[in-house]
Amino acid sequence: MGRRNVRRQTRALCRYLFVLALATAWTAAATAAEEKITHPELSEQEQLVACSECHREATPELYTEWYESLHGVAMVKCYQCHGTFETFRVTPTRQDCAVCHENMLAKCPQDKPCWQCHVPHGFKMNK
Amino acid sequence: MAQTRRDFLKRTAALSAASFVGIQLPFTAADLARAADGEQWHRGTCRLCGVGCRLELGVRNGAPFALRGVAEARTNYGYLCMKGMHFWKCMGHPDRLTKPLYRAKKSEPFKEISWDQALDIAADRFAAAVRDHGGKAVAYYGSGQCLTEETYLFQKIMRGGLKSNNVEGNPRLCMASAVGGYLTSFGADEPIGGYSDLEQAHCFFIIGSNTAEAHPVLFRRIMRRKLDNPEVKVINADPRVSQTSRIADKHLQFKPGTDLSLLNAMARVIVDEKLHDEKFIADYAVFRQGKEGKAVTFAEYAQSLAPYTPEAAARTCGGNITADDIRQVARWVATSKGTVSLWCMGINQRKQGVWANNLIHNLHILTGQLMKDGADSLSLTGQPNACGGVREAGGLCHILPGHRPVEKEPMRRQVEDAWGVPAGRIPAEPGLHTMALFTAINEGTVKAVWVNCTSPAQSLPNCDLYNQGLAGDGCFVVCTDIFKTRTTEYANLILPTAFHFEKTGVYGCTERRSQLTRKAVNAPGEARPEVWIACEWAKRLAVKLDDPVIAQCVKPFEGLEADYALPRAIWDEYTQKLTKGRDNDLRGATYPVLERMADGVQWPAPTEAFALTGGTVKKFVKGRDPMADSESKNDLPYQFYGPAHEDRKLWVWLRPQADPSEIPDADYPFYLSTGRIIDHWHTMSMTGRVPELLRANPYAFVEVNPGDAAKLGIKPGDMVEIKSRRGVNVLPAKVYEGPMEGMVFAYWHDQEETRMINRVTKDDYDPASKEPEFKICAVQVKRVSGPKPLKPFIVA
Repeated sequence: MGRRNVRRQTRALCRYLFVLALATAWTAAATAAEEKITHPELSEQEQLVACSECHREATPELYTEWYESLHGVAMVKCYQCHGTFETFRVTPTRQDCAVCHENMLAKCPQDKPCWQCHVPHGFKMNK
Repeated sequence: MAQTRRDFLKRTAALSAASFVGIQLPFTAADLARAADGEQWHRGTCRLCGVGCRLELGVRNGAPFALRGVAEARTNYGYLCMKGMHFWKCMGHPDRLTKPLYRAKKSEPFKEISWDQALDIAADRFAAAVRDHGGKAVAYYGSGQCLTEETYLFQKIMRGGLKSNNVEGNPRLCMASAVGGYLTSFGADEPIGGYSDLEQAHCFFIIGSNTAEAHPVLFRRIMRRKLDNPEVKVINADPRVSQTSRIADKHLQFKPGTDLSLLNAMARVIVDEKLHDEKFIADYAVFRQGKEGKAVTFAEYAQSLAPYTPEAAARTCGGNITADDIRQVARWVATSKGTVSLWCMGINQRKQGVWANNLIHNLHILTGQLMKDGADSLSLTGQPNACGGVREAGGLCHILPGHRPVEKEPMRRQVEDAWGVPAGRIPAEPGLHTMALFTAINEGTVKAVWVNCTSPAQSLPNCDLYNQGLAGDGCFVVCTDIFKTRTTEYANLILPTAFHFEKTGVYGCTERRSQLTRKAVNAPGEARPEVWIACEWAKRLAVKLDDPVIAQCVKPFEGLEADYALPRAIWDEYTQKLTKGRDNDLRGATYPVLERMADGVQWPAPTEAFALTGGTVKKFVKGRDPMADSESKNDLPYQFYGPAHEDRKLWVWLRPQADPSEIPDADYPFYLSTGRIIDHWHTMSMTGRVPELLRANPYAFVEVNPGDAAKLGIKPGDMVEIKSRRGVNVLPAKVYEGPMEGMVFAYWHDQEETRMINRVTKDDYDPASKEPEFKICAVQVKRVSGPKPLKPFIVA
């Protein structure tokens, strides 16, 4: 199969998948209140790309904010708070933070999630 | 179908935007619930690197479900990296070995057998080899990831039982040069200071270490120190720009192997500008040269530095190094209120590894940047128990427990007496070091080898060569492990072992700190702890060889239950009898004491009372190190009582620049270096089975400098052939700096045979430490194709 052919077929497939995925995403957004938010569906091959690789371009401000933060310098990566595809959570729980910051859970306000004051992804205190 | 990354990103960008629009997740109080019913948290040490993070394993209904850090621990203060966070997922993994497996010939498939049969076979084959060819024909190859109790027990059986000093471990491949450096520079192994110096340092000299990825939680402490105190200087010396470089005030890039010149040039600046500490040198140091360690004067030392002007060194080093840079960093190191140097494999895994270690220690001895808080030359240990188990408890072919050289007859007598075995039982000659051992397996002189908790088929340099011997039926191979690996592919007998937290024992980390992990959950299937396996094996060996002394080696542990009483008894024998009065005196670090500590105990700690304070923070300092007081010979505040220097001095060594074993030439024009990245550990048998970690880095990549990539037509994701005189790999490329021009850097985390970089590396080694030069060899680099959809590979 010629390379140009492959590229054309690939683009066509992508366009089809794009529309399909977009439709799925809008549906997902509409029922967010009832359903758990999942990461947009990726093939097995696509899942083998590190979060930061795509998010550097897909969500550049977020990526930069994280990269410049203490978490970025210390290499606390996306999946540590957000899980991987099967365990994905848009919003980490206090227990996710507790892996490293367990001692703070007792000291900080009990009625809020960590991220309300330590705003992602810079995590500076939001006073 | 292989999409380009660009297509893929275009496709998903819209999806991400759509998913995030206008979503407000309700926050429920259910998330606040902690310590729910039935949850228990068990304290222990991380299974992975040499930092020694303390953590707790969360267990619910007998099954692990999480790990979290211990905030009071003086190693990690509650922080964990992603590996420490996720390794619990290895515990209930479906791939866990659960039954002994055996095959008489390596061409046959494995059969499940009983423990009784398995132990009998292991004893039979080792006994036959000893009977026919003596102790020299058998070997134990252990690991810096074994518990100290395991290493100690196996080496006791080998030496006292089978009369074999063929006891080695994979720390030969990573830390032997650091051991050699400490012994020849300070007279004693392991750092004088430790992690507490980090928060008091004013200058960090990080050389040959990507601390951000190899010791992440320690890096966090350095990062914090720097961020809170911007005037603190961080110097990062590495041919490769890494994540560690992000916090550096100066990043020095030099051609691989030229760091000896850099370090000598720094010493030259210190001497020329009179930044050395004359009093410290006069009181504590001597100067030594050559193989015999001939004593020379300070003037002769200064003269030896004549060729290493900053200008000359900058020319030798190439890269981005200027003479002014060398002066600047030398001044920072010398004049700061406290300088901590840290290094790892970039310095150790070298033909000149010991020399490179000596040259770092030289800077500290010359400037007196030692002994006080905030100043230390801190070798970073890679594995969690290379120090505690292998270096301290007799896990290398030339040393007995308690830092005793096996060649010294009084040392052998002491150990034989402690074991209650006849004098002369332990052979006088050191056994085979690792590379010699696997060469002997190739040559057919070692007939049986026990490989414990390590995978040399993948981790040895130039591994194809040594796999020939492992593959043959001339050598009976026993592997104790938790998963199948590239090495179990060459085994006759695979014995399933308990994993971390499924058994009890001690790990000793980088900073002389011994810490206890207690069993929290049962091992799966019929997997057993190594200490039980070793005892059972020894009893059968005694019968088969009709040698009651072998049984004597394990008699003190007869009948003890394997989860706690057995390892405790082994630890007690080792610490109370074998470390008594030695520089790593651990008598105070009993299990009851270790169980009371959030973290553990730094040796020397001769008494329980002292151990409960945490032990010795700074060695050799009167008032802080009990042995500095008890071994004191004069009024000076520092007493260097280490076993290797009779003169009790620190030795400044004259070490010239010397080339690596193989450097680029016309045929093989690139430097190849290899190393770890943060998400994975070594051969990936553990981390490769954790989806989060695998997806972060699913296979080995080769980093290519953009300048080189442009010349070679290599784009990100392209498949690139890396070929040396020994072997070839084909790896996907990352294009960035990364490595300097003329150098490529490959990750060694991959079990797939076209991506196992040790098929390409060179097995020449430091003549003193016998540690191989993994870090430098010469390769050809060639683009093979565009990106390919690759599959991760883990031996099933």
